[in-house]
Parts: sequence; structure tokens; C-alpha cells
Amino acid sequence: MTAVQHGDTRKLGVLFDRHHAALFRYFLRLGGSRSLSEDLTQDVFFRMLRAGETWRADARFVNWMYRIARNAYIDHNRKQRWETGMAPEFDVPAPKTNGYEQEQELELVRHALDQLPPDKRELLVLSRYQGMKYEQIGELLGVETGTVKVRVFRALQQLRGIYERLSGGHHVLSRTGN
Amino acid sequence: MSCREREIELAEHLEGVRNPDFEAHLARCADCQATMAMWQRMGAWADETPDPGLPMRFRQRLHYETKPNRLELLKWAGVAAAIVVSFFAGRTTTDVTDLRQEVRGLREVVALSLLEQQSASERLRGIRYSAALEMPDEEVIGALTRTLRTDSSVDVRLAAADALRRYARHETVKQAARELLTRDDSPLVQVAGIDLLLAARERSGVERLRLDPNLDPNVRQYVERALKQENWQ
Repeated sequence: MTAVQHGDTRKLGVLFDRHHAALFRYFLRLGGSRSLSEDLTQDVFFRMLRAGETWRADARFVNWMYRIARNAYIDHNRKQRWETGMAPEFDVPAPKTNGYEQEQELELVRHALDQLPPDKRELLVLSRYQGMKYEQIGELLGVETGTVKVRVFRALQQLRGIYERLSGGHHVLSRTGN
Repeated sequence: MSCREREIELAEHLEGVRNPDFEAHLARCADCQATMAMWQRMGAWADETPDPGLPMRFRQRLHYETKPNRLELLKWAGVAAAIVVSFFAGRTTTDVTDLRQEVRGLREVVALSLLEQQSASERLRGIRYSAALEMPDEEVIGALTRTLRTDSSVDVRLAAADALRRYARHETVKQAARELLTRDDSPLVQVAGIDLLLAARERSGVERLRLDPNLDPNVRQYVERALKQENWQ
């Protein structure tokens, strides 16, 4: 990024190669369609060009990148609401799976995630799918690591509740724990 | 200690932190096991990969955006200036028709420009824009047909097919629809091509598909159903 900051914009292509797949999945799991996720992924790197001066060589690149990605997603949703007066469109095609049961499971997980409030969904996407540590998420969201742990736990509990409701209670285990 | 008091421990366990005390609790607590099971279940949503052509498209756009095309800017500035000048040059109400004509032309320019963008969302906007034009000229229909034939995104090709339904009897559109049936590798786009041919009353083109041994089974089923429809009997 330092090279990009000094005007070598071709180096942005190298950064793109390294990080675009992770960003694409981030947008996809936040609820974007494939084409929207690809567009937003590209948009993040163009924003990096414009926001180059806010990059500090001692900062964690991935966190800076996700900060820009969050803003891109928020801006997109705002624009979408403004243009259509509606919530953003969710048209993620179902990914291929190996069998009917797995497909059903995937559908339920995705529907449950869709029903989770966006901030909770994002927390689970960052921790479960993007593989970010709680400390890193705390840095990104500007909250304490302990707060992130509590929020992840609660988001997961809520997701579980939605999932159990959607699956008609088939997956509910006994709630007689300590 | 209740489960409620163990929320931080459970979250740490998800991150891979070993804690024998929590693990002993987990072994006998159905509630925490169910929460853990939800975490595992989330893994059903496997990683998806973006289009392999995305890095190339990004580099093309990077090249394009870091070197602004001055001619393009001048063209836009010229169109805008012409409209402003003509507006303030004392046009009377009888000139309103001409002005409308110019605005319509400007809309077509915008639609054509959007269809050429690197971003799939922008191209989709271009298609929506084109579809909203009351009487698009040949150039717009041609650009939509080109998009239908060659766009890298299935979403965009499908949207183009939809926008072209109104012009299904247009010879270029019919030709593109026939090509889709044999060349496009997406069954969804092939089905859109069938719909276009049906809208153009081109039964023979659809019938020929039955002879193709490599036809996708879903598309074949669609063809059979379409040909059996009453209005084709």
C-alpha cells in the first residue's frame, strides 16, 4: 500500500489479487448478490486510491481495508434506500452443495442470517467466515475486545433461536443446561 | 456458574482458546452444546469464489480510471452546454418538441454509455435505462443485443434479454436469440433465448434445439413444455 500511496497504482492490482476473494465473500455474506459483491469489492480498491493519505504504514492493512469495505457497504445501502425507497435487494443465488440435506441446512442458515439485525450479522460474518480475531474486530468497530466476545455470543444465540424457529424445532436440543 | 455467566468463555472457545473448566461444563450442558452446534452449522455456507475474470476487469478499470479520457469528458461537456445554451437562447413553446427530441437523444447517450461500463451494476443500470426509453433507436437495440451476446455476467445477459422482449421480432434480436441457444453456457440465459424466440414466433428455432444431444436437461424440459403450450398447437 505504501507503494500505491507513492503513486505506483499498478501495485493496487497486487493487493487486489491477494484480498479480493475475501472481500467478495464478506459482501456476499452480508447479503449482496454476486454481481453487487464483485462491484463493491472493486469499489473498495478504488476508494483506497482516493483515501490513500489516511493509510499509515504502521497500521494493520486488513483492518483499514475492512473499514473502507464497511463504509462502501453502508453507502451502497443508503443510496439504494434513497433511490428505491426500499431495503436493499437480496438475491444471492444458492451455492452448489452435495446433497439435499446439506442444501436444506444451507438454506436455513442463510435465511436465519438474513433475519438477524445487520450489526449482529456482520459480527458473525467477521468472526465465523472472515476468520478475524476478536481483538481485530474490536479495533475495526472501535469497541473493547471483551465487548466483542459478549456480542458474538449473543448474536450466535439469537441466530440459533431464529434457526430453530425456521427449522420447526427439529434441531432444538434440550434447554436444561446449567 | 450459569451459562449466562459463561458467554465470554464460550466466545473464547469458538476462537480456539483452551479452558478445561469450560470444556467440562460444555460436556454436560445441552444449551451450550446447541449454541456450539449453531456455530458449526454456519459452516454449511461454504466459501464461494468470485468470477475468475474479476482481477482482469479490475485492472482494465484501474487503467481506465487513472487515465481519464479527455475526449469523453469533452463530449459530455458539449452535450450539456448545447442543452443549456438552447434553453437560454429564447426558445418559444413551439420549440419544446425539438427540445424533447434532444433530451431523448441525451437519454440514449446515457444508456449507451452505461452499457459500456466495467461495473456489472452500472451495465444493469444501463439496461434499465434503455428499457425505460419509449422509442430507442437502432443503436440502443444494437448495444442491448451486443450485451446479450457477449456480457461476462449472467445477471446482465438475463436483464438484456428481458429488455429486448419488446423488440423480439427485430431481425438482430432474433439472430442473437438463436445464437444464445447454442453458444451460451448458462442454462438460464438459454431459457431467456427460448423466450425471446417464442415471443418472436420463431417455433422452428426452438424445435431445432430438441436435436441437440448436449442440451441441458432443464433446458430440454423447458423446450418440451413450451412447445406443448396450446398456442403452438
